[in-house]
Amino acid sequence: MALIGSAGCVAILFLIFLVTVAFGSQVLKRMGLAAEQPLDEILFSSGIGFAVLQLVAGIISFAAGLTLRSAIALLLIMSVASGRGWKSLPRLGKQSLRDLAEHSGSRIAKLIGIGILFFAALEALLATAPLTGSDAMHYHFTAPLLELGKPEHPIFWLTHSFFLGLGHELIGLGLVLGGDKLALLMIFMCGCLTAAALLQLARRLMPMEWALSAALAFLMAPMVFWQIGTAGAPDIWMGFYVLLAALAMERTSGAVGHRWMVLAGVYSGAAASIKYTGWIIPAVIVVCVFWISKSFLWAALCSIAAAAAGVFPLLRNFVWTGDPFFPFLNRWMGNIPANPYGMKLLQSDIHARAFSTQPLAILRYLTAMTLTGSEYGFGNYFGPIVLAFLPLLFFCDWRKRLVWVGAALWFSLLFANALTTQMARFLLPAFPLALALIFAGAADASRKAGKGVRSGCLATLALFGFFCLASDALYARDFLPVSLGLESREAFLDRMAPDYEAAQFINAALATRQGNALIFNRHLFYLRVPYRGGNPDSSWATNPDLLTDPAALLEFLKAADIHWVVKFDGYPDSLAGVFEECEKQGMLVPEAQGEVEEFTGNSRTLNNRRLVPIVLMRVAN
Amino acid sequence: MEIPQIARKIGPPIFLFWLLLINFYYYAQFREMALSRLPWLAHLWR
Repeated sequence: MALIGSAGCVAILFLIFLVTVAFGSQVLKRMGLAAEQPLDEILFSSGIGFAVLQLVAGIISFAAGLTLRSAIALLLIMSVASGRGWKSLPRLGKQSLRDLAEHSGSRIAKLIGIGILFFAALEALLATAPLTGSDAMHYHFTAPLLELGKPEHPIFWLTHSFFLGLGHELIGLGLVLGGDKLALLMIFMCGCLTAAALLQLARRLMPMEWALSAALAFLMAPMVFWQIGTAGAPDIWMGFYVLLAALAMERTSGAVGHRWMVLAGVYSGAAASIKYTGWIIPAVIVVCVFWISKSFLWAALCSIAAAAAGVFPLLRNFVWTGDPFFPFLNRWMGNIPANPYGMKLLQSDIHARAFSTQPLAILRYLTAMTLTGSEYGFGNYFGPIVLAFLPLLFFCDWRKRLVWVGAALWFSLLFANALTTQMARFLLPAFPLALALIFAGAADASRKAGKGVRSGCLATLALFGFFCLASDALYARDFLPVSLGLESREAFLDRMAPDYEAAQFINAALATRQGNALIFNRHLFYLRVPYRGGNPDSSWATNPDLLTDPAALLEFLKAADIHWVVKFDGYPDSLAGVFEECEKQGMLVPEAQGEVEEFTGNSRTLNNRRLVPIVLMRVAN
Repeated sequence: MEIPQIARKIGPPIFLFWLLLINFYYYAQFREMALSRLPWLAHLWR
C-alpha cells in the first residue's frame, strides 16, 4: 500500500514537472532564447516554470487561500498557456538521453552514472517516508498547513511563519495535492534538478567523468542526503535557482546576451524568494550584469526581473507588520510591538554556538565548519572535499565567465553567512557551485601537476565515497522499513517523529473538548486540534516581559481565546513562575494527564529517549 | 597557465600533506558517533 501511494505521488510529481517544463519552454521561445544542449533547455524551462508556479501559488494563497481546486486550476491554466511548449517535450527528452549516452560512453562514466542513480533512488525512497524533520515539523510544513484553505494571515504565535518564502508555497501545493509525501518528493525532485544543473555546469569546465563525479559527490554528501531526503526544508530550491542564474550568465555575450541577463535576474530573484539570506544572490548577479554590460539600463532591468520574481514574501511581511524582514528590522521599522526576549532567543536560534565576527574567528569558521561541524550548524555534513581541494582552485581557468561568476556567487554567499549566522548548513545553495569549481580545479591539476596529485585526489574521493555509502546507509536504515511498506505509518512516527506521542495525547485529550489550546511543544505538524504556540522562543505573541502576574496571563489567554494549556515537561523557564502561580490560585485546573516518551539530545538518530509528564490544564473562568 | 618550476617541485608534496591532514581530522570527528551507533566497531578501532 505504501509503495502504491508513493507511486501515485511520483506520478503527480512528474506531471507537475512536465507542466513547468512545457510552460518554461514556451516562455524561452517567446523570449527568443535557445540553449544549445537539450538538458540545459529542460533545466532553464523548469526553472522558469517553477519560479512562476511558486509566485502565482503565493499570490493565490495570500489573496484567497490555496485549496485543491485552486491548485488544480493553477496547473491547468499553466498547461493551457504552455501551448506549443508541450510539443517540444518528447524531443527534449529524447535528445537529452541521447546526449548523456553519447558523452558517458567510458566504463568509469557508466560506473559513476550507476552511483548517481543508486543514491538518487535511495533518496527518493527516504522522501516517501512520513515527515519527521525537526524544523519542518516546527514551521516549514506546519505554517503552510495552517495557511491552507483560507487567505494567508500573520501567525504571531509562530514567529518562524514570517520566514515563509515562495519555496514554502511549493510545499503548500504539495500538501494540497498529495499530503506531506508529495511535498517531500517535490523537495527531492529539486535535489535531482540541482544535481542535473550541476552536471551541466561542470561539463563546461571539465571532462565528463569529472563532471559526473561532481554530481555524485553532491548527491551522496550527507548534507544533501538529509536535506533532499527527510529534512523537509525548501533551501535546496535556492541551490537550483543559483546554478541556473550562473548558467544563464555564461550566455550573456552575443546577440541575445542581454535577454539572458534578464533571465539570470529572474532566477536570482526566485532564489531570493526562498529565504531572507538569499537576497545576496540578486545583488551579486546585478553587479555582474553591470560589470559585463557596462549599462545601467540592463542592470536595472535585471534588478526589476529579480524583484518581480522574489519580492512577494517581503511585500507580504511589509503589509502585515511594516517590516519586510520581520522581525529582524522590528527595532527600526514596523508597527508591531517589540519583544526583546523573543528577539534574543531567535537570534541565538539562527546563530552558530561559536559565532563571532572577530576577523580571526571568521577565518577559523571557514576551516572549522568542516572539521568541527557541531560548533557551526552541521557544516561537517558537507564532507571534506571542498576544503581538501581548495588549493586546486588555482588551476581553474579564471578567464571563463562561468568560473568567475560562479566564484563571485559562492564567495558572496560564504562571506555573508560568515558575517551573519555562521550556520554552515545555510550554505547548501552555495555547495553545488563550490563543488563545480573545486572539481574543475582538481580535473586540471590531475592533468598538469603529476601522478601524485591525481592519486591523492582520487584517493580522497574514493574515501569520501565509502564514507557516504556507510553513513547514508546507516541513516537510511531507520526510514526504509516505512518507505517499503514493512512498517506502519503510526509505528514509524512513534519511533522517529519528535513530540509525536505528545501530539497524539493532545489530539486525543482535546477531541471531545472545545476551544483553543496553548501548546509549548516545538513540533506542531501532527496536531489536529485548534491550538496556539506559547513557547516564547518561537512565539512573538508570548512576551515574558509582559506576562509577569496571573492577571496579565489570564488577560492574555482570554484575548487569544485559549481555553486549555498543555503543560509539557513543565512550563518554559521564563513563564514557569507565573503559570505555577496560576495553578496555585486555581486558575489552571488539571483535566487529563499522562506520560509520553520523547527524544533527548540534539539528534534523534542517536535514539536517546526519556519519559516526560504531560498535563492538560483547563483555564478556569 | 604555466606553473613555475619551484611550485611544480614543492607543490605536490605540500598538497598531499594537506590532503592527509584534512582527511585525518575530518574522519576523526565521527569516531564517537560511529561508536555510539555501531559498538562492535570499537574492537576494530583499538
